[in-house]
Amino acid sequence: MSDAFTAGYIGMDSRMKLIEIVTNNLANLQTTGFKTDFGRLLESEKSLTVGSNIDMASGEIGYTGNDLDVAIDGPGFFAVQTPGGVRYTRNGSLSLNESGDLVTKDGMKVLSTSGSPINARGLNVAIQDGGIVTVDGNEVATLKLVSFRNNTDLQREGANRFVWTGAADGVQDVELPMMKGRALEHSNVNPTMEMVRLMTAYRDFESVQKSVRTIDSEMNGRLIQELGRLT
Amino acid sequence: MLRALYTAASGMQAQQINIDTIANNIANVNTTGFKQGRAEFQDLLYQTIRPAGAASSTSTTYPVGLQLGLGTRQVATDRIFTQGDFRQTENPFDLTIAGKGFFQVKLPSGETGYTRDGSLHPSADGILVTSSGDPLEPQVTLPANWDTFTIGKDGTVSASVAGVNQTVGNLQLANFANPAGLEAVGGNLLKVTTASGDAVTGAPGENGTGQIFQGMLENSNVSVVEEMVNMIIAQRAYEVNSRAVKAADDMLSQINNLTR
Repeated sequence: MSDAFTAGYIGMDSRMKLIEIVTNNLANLQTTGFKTDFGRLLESEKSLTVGSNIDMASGEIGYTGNDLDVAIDGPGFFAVQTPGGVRYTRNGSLSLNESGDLVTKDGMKVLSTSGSPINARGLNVAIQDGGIVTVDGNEVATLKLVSFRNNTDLQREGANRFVWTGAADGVQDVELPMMKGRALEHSNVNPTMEMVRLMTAYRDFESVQKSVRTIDSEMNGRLIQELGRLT
Repeated sequence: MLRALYTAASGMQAQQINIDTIANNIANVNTTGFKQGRAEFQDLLYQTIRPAGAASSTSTTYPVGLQLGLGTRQVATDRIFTQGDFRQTENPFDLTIAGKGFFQVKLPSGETGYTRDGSLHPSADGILVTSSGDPLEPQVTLPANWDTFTIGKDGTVSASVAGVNQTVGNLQLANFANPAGLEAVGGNLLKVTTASGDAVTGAPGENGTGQIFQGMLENSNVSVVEEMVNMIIAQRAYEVNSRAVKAADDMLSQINNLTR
């Protein structure tokens, strides 16, 4: 009997994890450069586990008119220097810090094709199509775009950042970088799809819950009550 | 399960802030020199339940990991410094900056404020002040009994008294390495912060600043259509997150009903 309870627990727990993934997607409907996670159930030999994959599909690109906004119009990630090492992001909502370095909204320096931070000290700083950073009309640097051998070794870190956990040679520069200036990439979360996933996981949960209750009250309960009757 | 509740709540909270920002933009659709604000979001931390590549048996690994995100948070309200439309007013005291740059204003506290609002007025002593009465910096004083008053594109202020034209002052504009880092203090005023960098001042047209046009004002750069669309999106995003809260709550209640 305990097997059925364990199966029930796993069935419910896995659906709860799926819902947590969906909820996080929904919470990030408006996060620039966010990539949807899709949870899936994986059947292993003895149990059921949940895995999450990152859906790398491009989000819609929206024109903002802001000189320091840049959207990746194709594959690739910006490289940013963080205290923990180089991280990768699709969020091109950039700013300048007080010393004129091009930074993300949380102050991490964005790297150029030469792998160094970009200092754009000047009064008219803009990012042009192709990721070219100009100061008063003069080109000073180009934003670095990298791609990865596979997405499975790419882990999320929060704050729109990804960390590469694979071998160092798995990170390459994008051959044909495509970037749009004065635009941002919206989150690629599709609310319709997420609602469907939410409903599916919720109903699955309900079914498993019903079966656990049936096993408990109808079978186990009766077993104990009927068999235990001595007279 | 409680994770989903908090995650969805963070999404709802973010949309609330988004609506607050949008509402402020819409409220300032007629504010001279107003610059649109934009709420920016980031995903929160991730809880790595199982990293990709963890062993699934002695010789095989899971090709995908399991990371549960914990929601979203607001990271900044960006200010978008695009040019607003010009509005012809024919009032000689109305000025507009075509390009970057800010008028400098001496605040009662002695600090310098920066504004794009060029709606000026002469005070009782002939000093050019903003609508809230703060004098421009450097101060410009009009002579008594002036007949006409002009401000050139380069900021030269001249007035004619009894048919004699004389230069009475020069306007200066300030520019910043990072205007988005300026702090809005209300009253159309911005203040310098460490993030904005120090002000670089110069005559209009120098140091990347724009030229001055007299008899015009700069409208707010808020686009009502864009804000309405943003409002719809924000409201729907709020709604969808509240559905997730409901689903999580229902599941918790079902767990509670497992034993009767």
